[in-house]
Amino acid sequence: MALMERPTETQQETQASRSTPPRNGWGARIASRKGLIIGLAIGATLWELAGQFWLDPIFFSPLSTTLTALVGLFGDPKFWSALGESLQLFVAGFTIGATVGLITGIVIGRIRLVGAALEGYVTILYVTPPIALIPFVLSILGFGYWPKVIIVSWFVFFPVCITTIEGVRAVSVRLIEVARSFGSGELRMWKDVVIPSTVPYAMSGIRQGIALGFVGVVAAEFLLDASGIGLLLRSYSRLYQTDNLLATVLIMTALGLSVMALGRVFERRFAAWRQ
Amino acid sequence: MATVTSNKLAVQQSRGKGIFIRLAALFTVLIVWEIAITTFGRDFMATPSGIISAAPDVLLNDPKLWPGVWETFTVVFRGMFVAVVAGGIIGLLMGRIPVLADAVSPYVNGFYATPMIAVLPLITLWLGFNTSATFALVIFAALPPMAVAAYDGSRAIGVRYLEVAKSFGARRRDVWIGIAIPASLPNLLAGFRLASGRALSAVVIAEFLIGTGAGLGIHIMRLAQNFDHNEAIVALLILTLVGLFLAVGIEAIIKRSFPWFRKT
Repeated sequence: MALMERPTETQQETQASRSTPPRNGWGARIASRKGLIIGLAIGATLWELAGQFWLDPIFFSPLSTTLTALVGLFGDPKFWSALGESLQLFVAGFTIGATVGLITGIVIGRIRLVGAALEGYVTILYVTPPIALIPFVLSILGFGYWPKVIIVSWFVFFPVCITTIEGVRAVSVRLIEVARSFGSGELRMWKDVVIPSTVPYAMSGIRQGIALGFVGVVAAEFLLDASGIGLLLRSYSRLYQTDNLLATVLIMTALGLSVMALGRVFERRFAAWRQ
Repeated sequence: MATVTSNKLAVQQSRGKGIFIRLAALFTVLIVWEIAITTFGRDFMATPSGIISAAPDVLLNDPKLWPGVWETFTVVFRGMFVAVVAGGIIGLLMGRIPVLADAVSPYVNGFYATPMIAVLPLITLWLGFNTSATFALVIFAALPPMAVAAYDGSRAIGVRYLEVAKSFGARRRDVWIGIAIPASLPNLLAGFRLASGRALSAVVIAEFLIGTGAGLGIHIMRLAQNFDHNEAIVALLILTLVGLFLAVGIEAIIKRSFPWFRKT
């Protein structure tokens, strides 16, 4: 508990609850399933009716046709190999981006000189939309697999790096002083003091990194060497197969939601002592 | 608390030396960059000296740069305006009406989680390859975070404060100015920061994929594809400056005016 000097979420929560009824965050707040079911039912009906009676089938497919296309995609080995390709790219880019981000974040956060020197550049690169760098990567490295991995890891690197810096800075000076005065070496202190209190921060960066890495995969596959899900999306839109296109977008939504949920699980699992 | 103040002291002490360290770092970064590119890189790749010598020409004489900046940021501004107004209304209504929140939240979450590039083919299919598709993508990118922020913000208003205000006969306008806005503003600002970052990404993606038009994004892409990397970086820096202004500026406002607020 004494690890964190800043007000943590729970403290904020209790402060808030003094004056207000318990405040639910956005995450876990569905009070009743009824509203959810009504909302989904209305949306589904509108989708179906708009597709059947209003919009041109070239530009829009009713829900039923989209679901048929979805089932068709699940039976198509081409779809599964595309999904596997994208997943592989994600894992490669994420691993590199997160590892480099963690190491850089620790160095910048812990070594004051490096921090003063380089932190500004990290911020500058972070606020530049990473998509804007794709043309540079393309003209320097051309097509192929590795340019895409670089783009994905670029997306992942920054949130991980920046939250790690925050985490390393949030390590209580008192704990470090105690460890020092008991004769702890730098390495030992890392293991017992610095890393345990950095992990919760880094985890929220990793959660953002997972979500952004997913965006990076689609961006790289779309704008660089076309492959995987990005290639599928591209070819369906060029062939005006709107049902398949909508089905793929639905899959992307489901993937995005599960990737975000996965990140939250990760964060909760490893950041338990932040509260 | 003691550790916090000692931390602050250390920071203040190091601030004096900080400028020297930063200057030294700036020169080191620039020199390493210059040497690395001239020895290992290829001719067309950007170097600090190349960027500096290209900058005046691009900023003053490039006929496409400023019209592109104007076009791109007009779209961003219009899209953000719609996203802030519509997202704010949606979030507020969700905060007030629980059933509505349950019904609408899967859509807000779903739109939030879907990579914007994945919906761009649909948008271009419906609206064509033009600025209205870019406009639509900016709204798609910026609306969900604004709705979430407005929802969280409206939930952050203390019910007890409202009751006290009511029992003392506060007018509706005073309740808004005195309670509702200060309580929800930090959430709204944090949401705006997030939304504006996503809007910048969206406008660049849309311009890249739509490929026509004359915005800043497509201008950067054409320069980079023509191997004019120095010129492209100069144009890119405009985008970076806007992003920096939005991110750092809003963060500073939040830190200064709402020190108790911490984003989750």
